[in-house]
Amino acid sequence: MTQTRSGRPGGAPEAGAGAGRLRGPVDPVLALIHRHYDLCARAVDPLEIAAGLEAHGITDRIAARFRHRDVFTLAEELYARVPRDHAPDCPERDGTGVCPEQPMGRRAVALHLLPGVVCGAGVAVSRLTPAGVAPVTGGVALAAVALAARTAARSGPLRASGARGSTLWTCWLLAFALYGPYALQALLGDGSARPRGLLDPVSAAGFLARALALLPAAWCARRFARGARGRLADSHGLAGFRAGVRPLLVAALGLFTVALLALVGAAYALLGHRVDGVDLVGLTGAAALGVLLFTAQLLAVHGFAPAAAWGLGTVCAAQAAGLAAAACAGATSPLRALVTVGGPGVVQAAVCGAGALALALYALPALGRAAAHGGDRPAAPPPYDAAYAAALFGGPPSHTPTAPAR
Amino acid sequence: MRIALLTEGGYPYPSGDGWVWCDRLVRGLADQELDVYARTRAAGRPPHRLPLPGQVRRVAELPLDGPPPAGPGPRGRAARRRFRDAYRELAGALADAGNGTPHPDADGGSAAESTTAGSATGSGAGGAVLRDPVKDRFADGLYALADLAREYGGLGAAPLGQSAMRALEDACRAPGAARPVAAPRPRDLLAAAEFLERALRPLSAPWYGADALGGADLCHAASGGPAALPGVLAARWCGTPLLVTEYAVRLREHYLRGDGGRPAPAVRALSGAFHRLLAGEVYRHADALTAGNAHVRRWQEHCGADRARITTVHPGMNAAALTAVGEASEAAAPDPDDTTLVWVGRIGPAKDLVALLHAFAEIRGALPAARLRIIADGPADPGYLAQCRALAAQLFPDEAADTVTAGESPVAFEEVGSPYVPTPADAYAAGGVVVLSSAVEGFPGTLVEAMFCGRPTVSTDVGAVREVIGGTGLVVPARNPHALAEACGALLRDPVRRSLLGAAARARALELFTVERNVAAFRALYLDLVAHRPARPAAVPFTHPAEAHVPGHWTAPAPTGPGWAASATVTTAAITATDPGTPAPAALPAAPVPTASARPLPAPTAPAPADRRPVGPGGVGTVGGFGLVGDTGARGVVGGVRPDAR
Repeated sequence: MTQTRSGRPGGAPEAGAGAGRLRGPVDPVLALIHRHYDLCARAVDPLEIAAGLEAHGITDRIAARFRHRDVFTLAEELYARVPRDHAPDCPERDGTGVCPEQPMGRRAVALHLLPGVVCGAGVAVSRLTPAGVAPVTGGVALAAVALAARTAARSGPLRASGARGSTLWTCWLLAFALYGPYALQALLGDGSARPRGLLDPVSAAGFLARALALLPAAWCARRFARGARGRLADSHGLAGFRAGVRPLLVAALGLFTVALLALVGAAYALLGHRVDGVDLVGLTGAAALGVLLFTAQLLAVHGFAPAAAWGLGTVCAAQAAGLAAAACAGATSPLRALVTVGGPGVVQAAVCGAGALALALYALPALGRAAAHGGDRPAAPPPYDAAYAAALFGGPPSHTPTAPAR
Repeated sequence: MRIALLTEGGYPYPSGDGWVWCDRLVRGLADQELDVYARTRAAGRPPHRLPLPGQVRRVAELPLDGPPPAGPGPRGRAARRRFRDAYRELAGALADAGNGTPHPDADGGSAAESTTAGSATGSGAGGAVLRDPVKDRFADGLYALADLAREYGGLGAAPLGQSAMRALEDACRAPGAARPVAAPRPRDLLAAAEFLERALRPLSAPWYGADALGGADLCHAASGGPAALPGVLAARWCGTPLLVTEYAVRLREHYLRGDGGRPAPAVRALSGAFHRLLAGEVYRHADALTAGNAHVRRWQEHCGADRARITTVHPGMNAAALTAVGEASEAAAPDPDDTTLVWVGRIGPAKDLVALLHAFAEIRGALPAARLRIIADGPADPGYLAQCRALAAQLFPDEAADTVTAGESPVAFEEVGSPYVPTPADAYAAGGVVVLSSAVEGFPGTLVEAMFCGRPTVSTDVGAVREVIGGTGLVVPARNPHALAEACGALLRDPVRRSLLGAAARARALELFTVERNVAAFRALYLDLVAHRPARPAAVPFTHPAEAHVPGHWTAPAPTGPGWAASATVTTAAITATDPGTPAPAALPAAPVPTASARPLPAPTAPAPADRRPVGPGGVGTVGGFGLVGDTGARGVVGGVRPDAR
């Protein structure tokens, strides 16, 4: 409660004054309206005014001086006489949970860069060690990168409560990106294939780009969340909100895809100078996997973790089915023809591309729902929200009854 | 007896308002079985529960906040459609609630309504005949959602789903919706949907089986509104009697505190409507209501509670530490030189210490030896404390008896726990007169403590002060330093009157405000409720004689006599009518009984004004006084007290 000069609560030094002390033929309720204008204008309900008046010390006996039976009928008169002012003058207070639109601190940025650094180190180590142990070093680097990425995603805008299985599916997808092409070739009967781990420029470029893309991913997710919150506040209805969020989502996915493609290209150029032909299919697969993971994470951030896990799981199943088909493929199998034309990365490219597309199509309506953008607000204030009470009931009375202060 | 205690946001954790009272009640009911069903905050609550005594068999918690409970929710197209329709009803009622009749019907309507609602609840069915279409829609929607949740094991996240949001938007945009909600932004809709989802969580709680609320002998809700919602559902599904206790009006708390954050007007309107309609629904379905004081009772009556079912049960105080002071002061002779005024409480603007200081300045003019000790008991508002200190320093410069001793101000600011005032009892013992200068007050706990200590009091006429003090102290208007000064001065000058008033105050407090009294009042209410509960279907054959199933009471003679006696017949008929297949008894009047209520209790024909009703736990007699009809004074005697006896 705010203090006035006299030090009385609620700035109503003469709240107990009866009509007798008022001079002139003014009706006594008018003075009361003047004193409690803000309360009356902001109230959504006569009972709210009654509660506020009582908090100001107005009792039934005082109400009787205004020729009312009790505070309730007095509040009803006030409610009826004061025009409503429902401008949202109290700024909306957001939840205490981690808001995705908070700017990322230095620590968060460093955490998001860490997987890229780890991956770069992994690539370097793979190149320095003998080629025979490349699969092992690659696997170790993969595990380290996954761990670093997981740590990074715990703090920033990509923070999400994952559904059951999503970690497993992600690990499988990453492992398939590293060993899948070799396994496919081996199963199809190509004896010359060797697992090369991160020595393979396509795998290495893909890993490096995906690890480095964590920061753009966080930025895109934050931009999307912030935009959606803005739309939540200024759209006119749920339909308008949905229409407003769709371009935001498309922009976020598009920006991330462009950033990832650029990173893949750059990483390939950096690592792949010893290879003559560019493996476009493999690089597309690497980028598609990145987009798939980003879309799934975006869904999980906004409360669709089960759907995201389902999507990832389906892609994993498709990859496993590809391996199984390769294992029992005959000489004229379409898979063999596909691999001959597109190279060993074709399964990953096709499956991840389709998966990313499907998840994006799912995300378009799903993330257009308002419920996807709710923060976790506190259910009730701790014991007594003094600031709120002051804003509602306290404060000096406004000086003109027609123009409330604030 | 197996009692289910329903709490919200407090007990069994030491947080919120009512936990102290709940803890005392639970400890006082050592010979009963207690189950605690608590809605607790996941965030911001104390980390540890209170130590629970042995009679607490079970504690079930439901989080008030956090993510929605995991669960599939209504499955299948038909269930989803049912959910949508029910939610639409609920949302429509909330959106329309601000229009039409602006307030729940007051006393004029509640008498007629209580007759119909009373007979319906008495028979255990929830389909009360409601006159207000908004209330009707609210109840329909709420119970449809509850049935759905029961059928499908919870609503899951469905109240946050797209169909719920759309229903909410449609309800807000529908013609006839109240103005604050008419143009909701998606943010407001989202906030409202989140609020409703949290508020509706008790519907999804697994509490309504025979091993939980269904098996309890009665539900005791520790506050009105959301805390009592499980009790309403248990009464609806399992016929468990519901007792609702309010020491602070939950609805009023909602208006004063909000439900988190500073929501937009549309959200405030919707959540306010929900709390208001829910309060009305709870009051309608509660078999007994207790109010902590007359102010609470007034709010309850205003929100549609039946007067005949409300009993005032004052909060009980733990008087053990204070009685010693009272005994000592009673034993000692009046001390004419004790001219110290004591103020005890939490320092804050509502306490109006400024008026007290001004009054004390006037007292000092007449009695230069007077001293004032302001003793803070609990956290103080630092800004206000500094202001008061500054004012005291300005009004009362340090003084000394002669030119060689150090000066001292006649006004001392102290706090409980300091070496001079280690306990609250010492605070009251420190002065001859205890003064309360509040401008706003609920139930004045410090006043009751002062009464236990046998101290005469001077207090302002705010909140429940008159009711508490009775005739055992002086009451002056609020914000009137002159009147306060005169009253204090009169007491300070008259030691005999002081000691007489102190003794009277002590006697009154010991009679009305002890924990034992409080617990005994609740115990009597429990017994009464359980006694009126319809017999449960017997699990073992032949435990009830066949006559027990005949309409009308089989041991009572046929109803003869005056009209009010018909109510007893109606009661027994209502009891047996819960058996399915039993034909409606002929004695049950088709039309609402014009004068006598259908409640087990014959209603007073001319209810006394709220101020003059028995204020003590004499309400024991209000419910239990089966044979006494309509006489307020007689009921007070049955309760064992005449609280307004001076």
